[in-house]
Amino acid sequence: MSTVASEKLTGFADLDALRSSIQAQREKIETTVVLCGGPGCQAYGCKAVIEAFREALDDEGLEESVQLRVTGCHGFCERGPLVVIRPAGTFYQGVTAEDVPEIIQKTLKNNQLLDRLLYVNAQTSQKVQTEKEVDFYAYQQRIISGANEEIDPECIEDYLAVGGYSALAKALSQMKPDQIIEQITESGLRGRGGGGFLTGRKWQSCRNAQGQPKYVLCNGDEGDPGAFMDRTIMEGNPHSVLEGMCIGAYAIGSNQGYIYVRDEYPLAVENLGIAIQQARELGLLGENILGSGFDFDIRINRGAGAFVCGESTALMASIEGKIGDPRAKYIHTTDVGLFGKPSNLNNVETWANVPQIINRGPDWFSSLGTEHSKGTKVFSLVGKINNTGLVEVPMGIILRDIIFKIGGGIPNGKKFKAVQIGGPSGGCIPETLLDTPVDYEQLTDLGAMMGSGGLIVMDQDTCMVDIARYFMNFLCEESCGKCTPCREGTKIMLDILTRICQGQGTPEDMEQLETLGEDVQTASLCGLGTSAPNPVLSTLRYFRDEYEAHVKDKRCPAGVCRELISFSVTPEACTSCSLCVKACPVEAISGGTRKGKGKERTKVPAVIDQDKCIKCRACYEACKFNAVAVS
Amino acid sequence: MSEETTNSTVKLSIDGQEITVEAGTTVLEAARRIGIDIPALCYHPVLGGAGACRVCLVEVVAWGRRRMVTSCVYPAREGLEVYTNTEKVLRSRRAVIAMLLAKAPAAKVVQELAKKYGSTEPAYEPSDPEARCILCGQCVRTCNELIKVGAVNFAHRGQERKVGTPYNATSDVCLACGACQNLCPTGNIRIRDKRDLRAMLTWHTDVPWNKCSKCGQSYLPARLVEFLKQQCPVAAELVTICPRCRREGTAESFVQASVLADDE
Amino acid sequence: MSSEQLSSVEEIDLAAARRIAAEHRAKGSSLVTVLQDVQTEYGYLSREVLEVVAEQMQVPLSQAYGLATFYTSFSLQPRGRYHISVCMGTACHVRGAANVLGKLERDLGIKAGQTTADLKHSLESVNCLGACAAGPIVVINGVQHGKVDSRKVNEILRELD
Repeated sequence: MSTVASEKLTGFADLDALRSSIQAQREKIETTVVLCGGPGCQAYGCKAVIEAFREALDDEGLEESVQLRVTGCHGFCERGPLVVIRPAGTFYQGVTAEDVPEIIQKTLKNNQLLDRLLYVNAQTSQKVQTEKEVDFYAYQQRIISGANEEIDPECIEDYLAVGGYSALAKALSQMKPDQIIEQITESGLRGRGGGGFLTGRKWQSCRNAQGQPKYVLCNGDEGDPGAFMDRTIMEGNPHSVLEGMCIGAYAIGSNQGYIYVRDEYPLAVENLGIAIQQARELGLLGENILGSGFDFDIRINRGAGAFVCGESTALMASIEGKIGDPRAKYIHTTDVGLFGKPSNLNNVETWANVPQIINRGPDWFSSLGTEHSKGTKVFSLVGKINNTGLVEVPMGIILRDIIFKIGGGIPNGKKFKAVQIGGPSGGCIPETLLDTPVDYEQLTDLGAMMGSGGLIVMDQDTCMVDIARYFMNFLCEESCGKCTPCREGTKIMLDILTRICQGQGTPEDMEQLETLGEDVQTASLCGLGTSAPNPVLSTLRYFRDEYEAHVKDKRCPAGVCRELISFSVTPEACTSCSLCVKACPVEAISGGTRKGKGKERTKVPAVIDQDKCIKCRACYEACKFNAVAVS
Repeated sequence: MSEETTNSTVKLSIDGQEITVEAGTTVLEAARRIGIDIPALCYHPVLGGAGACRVCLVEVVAWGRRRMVTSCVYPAREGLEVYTNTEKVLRSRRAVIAMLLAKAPAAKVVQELAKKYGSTEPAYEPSDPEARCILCGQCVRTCNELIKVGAVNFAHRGQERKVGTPYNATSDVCLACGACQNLCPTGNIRIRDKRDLRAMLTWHTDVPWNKCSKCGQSYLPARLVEFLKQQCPVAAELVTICPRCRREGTAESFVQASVLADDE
Repeated sequence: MSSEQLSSVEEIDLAAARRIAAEHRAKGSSLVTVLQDVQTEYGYLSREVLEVVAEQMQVPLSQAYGLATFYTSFSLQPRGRYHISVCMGTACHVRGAANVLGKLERDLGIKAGQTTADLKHSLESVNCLGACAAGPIVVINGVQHGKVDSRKVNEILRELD
């Protein structure tokens, strides 16, 4: 919603004046309905809710007095679509289009709460009215993701209203490039893409590098499966990335930026594009930014479906229009990077941290976190967990708190087995190590890594050998194929894992996996290859008994590996409801029905024909009475 | 000779031997200069290294840190210590060779390396016992960087990666110059010179011979002649003549020149 | 452009490819960007189109072909009217994405990466769409479906006609 027309800002005072006028206007708005349009809510159909609100407000003649704001991700995806009504801050979850007329009649017009849409805190079983009271948010510290709710990503004024671009103005008007680098270094900010390199030091290297022009790049190629933090920042708060890059460019001495966005994120591309355009129109990007004499502009490059392009040299090759082959980095990209020029690449979340540090100071930032890991980290908490969603926590919080206090534990009373952290380069951490704090070094010591921030929770029904095979298959598909160990070694490892999952593994296979894993780690060219064995080695380390069960007993304890399991119906537990019969895609289930009428009515338990069964688990998932057993 | 290094040279030690080289020299090149053999399959003196095959890994100590690096692309640095034969190096080299042997069991150079490093028995089942290509990319770099024609390139990725012409079909641009075959370390590129044409068998491309404008003999692929004419217009006439006629022509002009000189 | 037009290769009008490539060349765009826009125009990258792009961008065809086969978002074959992507990200995997893909493969009679003979459906598996919280995820022509299981696949497929 654009309400304040403005021309190009030519000085720092212009920016302050514009901000004041936007804020003054905002104060007049009585009610704001904030609708989450993040990826989780979208998958749950928030578009229909948004449309319903638009139409209903129109019909009721409320379009003037009630502001509708569609924003990026609020984090609590599990309960989407989410609606927050301001100023009271009323938090409705699981909202459907059908609920909308009632929300308008009762809550908007008469200040009544709709009981059924309120969230119930899991531990206290109490219904709560506002977001602040929701347990999921209680342990979080949302310095990066918190602003999402305040901002319609298509509206630069929303960003300005919450203080946007004030850090840029501060940097350009009051700070010298060296001072900025010094503050970023002092803050202890480290790369959020996974490597954890000290951001300030990287900037310094690039600033010192010989050669012009220099480039600043943003890595938005969030390829780790199970991770969507960067997506929500790019989609929900694109200006925070642009502002960070602009400050970085000024500090480094660059006039051109590039954002490389995954092809799977069309909305991120769209919103970043709109944001760049709006920033240009206001003179916050382009020539002579805010009259400072500093020029900087940004181009967006779309990825084309290659995980390896998250690696810095492959990413640069891809921007140059080449295949995403990485190269050895003995000469750093800060010296010879994009188009052979000094280039500074940081991840989306890293860039988004920059304006915060400039505004609030390095001391504030370094007061958060552990000795060597500062600030907060955004994680996507997914998998077998009650509260799936996006969480932002201070570094140093233990994994157990994230999973049980914020995540609300494991659904359906099942038992926690492992949490996978760091994506395909990371590892699986068992229950006994859940008190490990979120810290770059400590996670690496466990054979995992911080990675970009995917936390995938696994329960007793997850087979760790299958997970290792899954990751190896992923890496095999995503290896660029340039270097021998990553191309050939991952394939050989995948073959071994597949054999084990099929019950044809031998004890020697386990040893060979370990040896090969170490060889691939040592000999591969880029980070993809050197970390590719991590999921296998970490599961071998912490879940060796599961491998042994597959190899020695030809048994899959979690009941996942198809060749090693069979499904059957326990007649005593079967209620003959026929859900399994309907769910079976290959008509392998007979019975499961009720015969006769009235008193004559008898139940015929379901029976699974083992010859026809393709072990797709459909019946197991469909059964509400635990009558389908895996053995 | 002075022992001091200048800005443009660096002194390093390789397996205990000291050597001074120009800055920018790779560790592999420095080692070979003093007779230390590091195997390398994606390296060629003309093209440099690609860092792809990974058999040239060595251990270095730089800034107090010991690590494995790819010697074909690692630049020699002042004070660098290089170790080319440590247990760690040999283990990794053997592992990579075993993988290459599964990929390209018919490649002689790989077989020889396997023999030398004691891994003759294939550790893994090869998917194609006749395969020779190790995807070192030397043909691709030759065709794109040296000849600058780009008839062949990598296609697909990961396991599926291949070198070849687009669609693995006849190339409209391959000059049949044969440079790729010259630089291929495994003998994977097959060329057959027939009566009327040169068949680039691996690239599915036939290019007819050019006939010498003097004697009518076949001597170079026609496309290559056209290419050379464009590259070097001053010598355009020269390349349309076969080497023999060219030699005869040169000899003739010498004779004429000396006759003229005698006359004077 | 309808699928009928796509199916007959001879009728493809190459003018658009020429125009897009020329525009990008003037802007200094990369070959990847050009191929993306050209694919958006035609739905896939036919050999003729790839040749035109390579010629306009003054690069060898082998380079364009190398890119088109390296990056998974490029397709050398026409795709169906309904392009179905099944997310195989980790979060979706632990919640049974493989079963969803298996069900779709059986119901449509094609494997991932294939298109039905009538060019109605094409099916692909993708490595994470970034909507992990609602997994398993299936995306059809850009529309996301969350928490998909076998039963929901039936519903989704029914809606497509």
